[in-house]
Amino acid sequence: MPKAIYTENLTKVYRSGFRLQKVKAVENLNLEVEAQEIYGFLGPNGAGKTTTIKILVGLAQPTSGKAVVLGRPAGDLGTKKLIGFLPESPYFYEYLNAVEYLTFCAQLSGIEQNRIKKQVEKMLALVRLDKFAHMPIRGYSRGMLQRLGIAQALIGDPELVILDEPMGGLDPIGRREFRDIILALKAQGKTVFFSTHILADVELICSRVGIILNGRLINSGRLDEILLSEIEGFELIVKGLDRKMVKVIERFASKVISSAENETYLEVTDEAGVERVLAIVREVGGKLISLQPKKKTLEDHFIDQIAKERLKAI
Amino acid sequence: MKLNAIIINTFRESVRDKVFIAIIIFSIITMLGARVIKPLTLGEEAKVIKDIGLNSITFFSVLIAILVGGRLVYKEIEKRTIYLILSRPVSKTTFIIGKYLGLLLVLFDSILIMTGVFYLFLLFLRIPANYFLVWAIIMTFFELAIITAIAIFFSTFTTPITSAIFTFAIYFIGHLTPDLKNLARIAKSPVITFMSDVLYYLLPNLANFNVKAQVVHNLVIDYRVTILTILYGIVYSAFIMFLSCLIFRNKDF
Ligand SMILES: Nc1ncnc2c1ncn2[C@@H]1O[C@H](COP(=O)(O)OP(=O)(O)OP(=O)(O)O)[C@@H](O)[C@H]1O
Ligand SMILES: [Mg+2]
Repeated sequence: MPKAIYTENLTKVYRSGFRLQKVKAVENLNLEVEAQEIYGFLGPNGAGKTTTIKILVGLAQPTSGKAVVLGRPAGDLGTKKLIGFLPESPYFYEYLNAVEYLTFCAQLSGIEQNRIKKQVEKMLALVRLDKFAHMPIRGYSRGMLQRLGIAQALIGDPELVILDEPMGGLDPIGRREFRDIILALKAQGKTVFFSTHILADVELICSRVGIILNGRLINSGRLDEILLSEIEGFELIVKGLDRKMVKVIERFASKVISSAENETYLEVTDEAGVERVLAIVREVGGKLISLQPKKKTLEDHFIDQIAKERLKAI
Repeated sequence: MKLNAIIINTFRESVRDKVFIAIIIFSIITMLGARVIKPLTLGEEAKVIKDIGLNSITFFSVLIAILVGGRLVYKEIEKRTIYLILSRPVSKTTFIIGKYLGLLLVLFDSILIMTGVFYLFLLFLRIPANYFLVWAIIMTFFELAIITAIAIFFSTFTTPITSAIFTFAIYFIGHLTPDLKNLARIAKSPVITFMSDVLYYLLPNLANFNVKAQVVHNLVIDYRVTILTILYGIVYSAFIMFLSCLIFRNKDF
């Protein structure tokens, strides 16, 4: 089975401003997204997510490098037929209603005439817009627009769904429903590729993520691997130590979080430190209440990576 | 099928646009307004009313072509609705041609409405109307095909206002092409001769599309010239649309 998305040294240079300065929106990006996975594409504002996605769906041409989608060149009509796409903050024809709009989309996607009506109804029900099906889009709220966007992306049962910040404008219930839709797609064997800055969404549903910064992919892999590779230390809670012994073990701790009623909660950076603390505790007849590796959250990771990159840049 | 969908959507967009409806209403008011100047017509009422009727149909449909045509593609890019068309299996050529034909459909229908009103009005005033008048209107339609193509051409790379100004300028000069030819002939300076020759061949020759005066004065129309002019209109529009497609094909969004 070919990779759902494969890019090799993908680069996009924009020339903008008065003096046509070069902006490297995407630089030597190598992405690999397997078929049937949910892939999160993470990056802060201006990192190059939208630019990458535009190339993948054929809205922009790469300056150099290669983009292959579902084993075919990105941007070909045959490739586009297999893709569903939701742009960031999508905008629709305000003078149409949802049924008219989705029918139009279905026609453009090349769905057979006799299947269109059913498809449109199915999509409206999926995103719970059936009650507003005949209301002009002009009157839609932000969240309703986002739902309509998801509906138009999924019409015609695409193999690969590419979503640019799909959760934008959705309330917590909307987010949850969206996650359910994504998981249902995965269950149907579809591939989902979506960009976001909201890490919680990624942590819950993505099998793998790629982190992009300044146009370059700075990390990618399974989420737990990215996070596990960076155990920051261990958190220990020990009990039954007298004040003097607490002072002794505190020397091995990187941080004492709390120390009260003969229960001490501290952080130790490495395993050797943990061993020593445990030895002391055992020796003086104390008790270990809990020992936990301290993982970075994705949030921490994200911020760290960005800080590192910024430092490098200076 | 995909082309049809784009044509119909463009049609819907225009018809549901207030500007468009306002223009149609204005054209009808202008036609009917011709009645008011009756005292000034010195017994030539029929001719004056026909003249005003035909000219207002032309004027307002050209206005639609330039104003709507100049916004048509630009708006899709500006509002990013184009993302959801071109990310589907639709080529940029299909998109642009669909937009063009959609606007032509709009123009066809508006001309139909205006002509209908015009004929009813003539009937009401008991002014004899022959099918000659329709010839003038058909010619106007093919002129509009050129103007619309030019408006869309500009709107692939400039703003609606710039597009409108340029298109209007070309429309204006296009009606002066016989004069350009004369200028080329009589000019002493070879530079001016060259320039006016270039303009003459480059700009659309729109004067030929205007047979309103002949029609109103019941003069004979040379059908051979008329057919050739229509063919010229089709070829010229096709060429401009071809250029628009070329520009559009290399565009990033
Ligand atoms: N059409 C364009 N012309 C010039 N520069 C552009 C263009 N599009 C994007 N850029 C630049 O490319 C860089 C990447 O932009 P991009 O929109 O891909 O970021 P993003 O990751 O999607 O950000 P966000 O999270 O804010 O949506 C930015 O520096 C942006 O200014
Ligand atoms: Mg973006």
